[in-house]
Amino acid sequence: MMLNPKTRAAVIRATITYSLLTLLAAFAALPMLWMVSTSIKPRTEIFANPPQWIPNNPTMDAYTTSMSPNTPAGRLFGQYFLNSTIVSVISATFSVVIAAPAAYAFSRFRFPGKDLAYFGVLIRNMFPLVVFLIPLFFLMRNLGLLNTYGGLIIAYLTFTLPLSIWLLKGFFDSIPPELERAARIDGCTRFGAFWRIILPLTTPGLAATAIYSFVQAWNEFPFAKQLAYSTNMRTLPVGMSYFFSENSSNWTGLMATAVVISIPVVIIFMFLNRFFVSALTQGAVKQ
Amino acid sequence: MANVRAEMDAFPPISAPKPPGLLRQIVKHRYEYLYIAPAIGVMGLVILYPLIYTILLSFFNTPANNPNVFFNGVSNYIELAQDNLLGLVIRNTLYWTFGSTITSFALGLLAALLLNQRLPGSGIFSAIMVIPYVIGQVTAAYLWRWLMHGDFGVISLTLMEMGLLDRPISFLQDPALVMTSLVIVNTWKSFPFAMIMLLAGLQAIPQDLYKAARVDGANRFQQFIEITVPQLMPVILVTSVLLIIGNMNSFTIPYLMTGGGPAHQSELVITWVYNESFQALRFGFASAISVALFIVLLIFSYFYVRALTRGQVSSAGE
Repeated sequence: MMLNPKTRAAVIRATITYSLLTLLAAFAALPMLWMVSTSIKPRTEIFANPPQWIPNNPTMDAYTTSMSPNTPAGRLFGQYFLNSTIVSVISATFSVVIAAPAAYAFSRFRFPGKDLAYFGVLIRNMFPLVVFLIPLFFLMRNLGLLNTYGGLIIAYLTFTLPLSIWLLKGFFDSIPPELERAARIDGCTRFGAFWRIILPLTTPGLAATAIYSFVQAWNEFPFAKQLAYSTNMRTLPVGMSYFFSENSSNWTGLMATAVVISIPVVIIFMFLNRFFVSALTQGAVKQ
Repeated sequence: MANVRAEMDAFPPISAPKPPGLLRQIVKHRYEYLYIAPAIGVMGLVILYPLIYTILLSFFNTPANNPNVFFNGVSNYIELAQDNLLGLVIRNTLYWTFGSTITSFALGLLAALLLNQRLPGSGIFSAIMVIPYVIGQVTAAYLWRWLMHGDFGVISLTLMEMGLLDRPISFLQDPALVMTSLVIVNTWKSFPFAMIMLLAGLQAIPQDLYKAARVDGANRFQQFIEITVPQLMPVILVTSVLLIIGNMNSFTIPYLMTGGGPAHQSELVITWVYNESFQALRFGFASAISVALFIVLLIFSYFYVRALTRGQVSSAGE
C-alpha cells in the first residue's frame, strides 16, 4: 500500500498518540480493575501467584457479607451509607445557599472590605484541613455537637463554603451585567434582578457547585474520623477505615466496599463530566 | 410622615457633621453587606475562629492528663526548632509536595496534549483517566495498600512473573522506598486534575494563531514553543500552584497508607500535626507546628492569589 508522505506522517502520529493514551489509561484504570477483580474472588484465590485478573470462581460473597442488611456488618454499612448521604447532601445544599448571594456580591458589587473578604475566601484553600481540626474538635465538644450530623455539617462548611463562593463567582462573572441593567430599567429591584434574572440563568453553575461540594463531603476523611467517631455516626470512609483495622486481611470485603463507595461518585461524574470540567476550570481558563 | 422624612433627606441640615469617609461608604453600601453576611458569619465560625484558636493554643502547654492549659510562652516553638524530627519532616514534605507536583503535571500535560489532537475515541480515554481523581482518598489509599502489599501485592507478583524480580518489594515498609511509593500513589490520584485544567487551557487557545503560524511556515515544535506555551502560561501557573497546595495539604493518603511510618520515615508536616494532636494529645505543640506551617503557606499564598487573580483579570479583560 502506498501512502503519500503526508498521510503516512498522520498515521504514524495517530499510532503514537493512541499508544501513549493507552499507556496512560492503563496506569489510571488497571488499579481500579484489580479492585473489582479482588472484590469478586473467593478469599482463597486472592493470594494466587502469578496474579489472576479473571477469577476462576467469581463470587459476590464479599458484597453480601459486608453489605447485606442481614449481617451485622451489612447493617452498619447501611447506616454509614445513610450518614454519608445525609451529611453530604445537607452540607452541599447549605454551602450553595449561603455562597450564592455572597458570590454574587463579590462578582457585581463594590464595597469597602470586599477585597479583604474575598482574600479570606481564597486563603482557606491554602491551609490544610487537619490544622482546622484541633480547634473545631474542641468547639464541637464544647457545643455538644460531637457525633451529631449538625456538627459534621457545620465543620464541612470550612471547605465547601469557600470553594462554592469561588466557583459561583466565576459563573456569575460569565453573565453579562447588561441583563441586570435591563431588568432594573424594567422596574426590578436590585435583589429582584439577582433572584429572578441571574439565579435562574446560573442553575447549571449552582448544580455543578452543589455536586462538587457533595463529592468533597462524600470523600472527606479526617473531620469525619474525629468529629463523628461513635459506631452509629460514622460516614462511609471512616467506616471503611474501621473495617480495615478490625479485619486487616479481609481484602475481598475491603475492595467490595471500595467498589460500592466509588460507584455514586463515578456515576455522577460520568453524567456531569462537562459541568465538572467547567466548574473546575472556569476562572483559571479564559473563556 | 413619610413626606416629612423624604424632605428631611432631600435637605439635610448643613451643620450636621458628616461621617468619616470609610463609615459613610459602609453605610451607603449597607444592603450589599447583607449578601455576604451569612457567608462571613459562617466563615468567622469555622475558619477565622479556628485560626485564632490555633495561634493562641500554640503558646500553651496542654498536658494530656489535665483538662487545664498552661501558658508557656514560646516554649512550644523552641521545642519545635530543636525537635529531631523537624529536618526529616521538612525533607519528606518537600519531596512529597514537589515530587508529586512535577510527575502529576508532566503526565497531565502529556495526556492533555494527546487528547487535544481530538482523535476519535478521545472522550473514552479522557473518561477513563479521570476516574482516579474522582474516587475517594480513602478508597485510593486502601486500594494501593493492596496493590503494594509486601507479600501478595499485584505489582510485585507481576514483576516477578515477568522475571524482573526475585521476591516482592516492600514498597511501604522499606525506608528507602516508602516516600517514592507514596509519590506514585499521589501522582495516580492527581494527574487527571492537571489533565483537565491543561486540556481546558489548550482548547481555549484560538485556532487562528496556529493557522497564521502555519502560513508563516512554523513547524509543530515551533508552534508549540511560540504559541502553545505562552498562551497556556496562565493556566500552567494556576494548575501548578493548585497542585502544590493540594499536595502539601493532602493528609488522607499518607496517613492511611503509612501513618508516617516506618519509624517516621514517611512523616509529613500534616501527619505530624495529626499524630502530635490526636495520637499524642500534645495539642499545644501540634498548634505550634500548624502556625509554623501557616507562615510558610502565607508566603506561598501571596503567589497563589496573584496567579489566581491574574487568571481572572485576563478573563475579565477578554
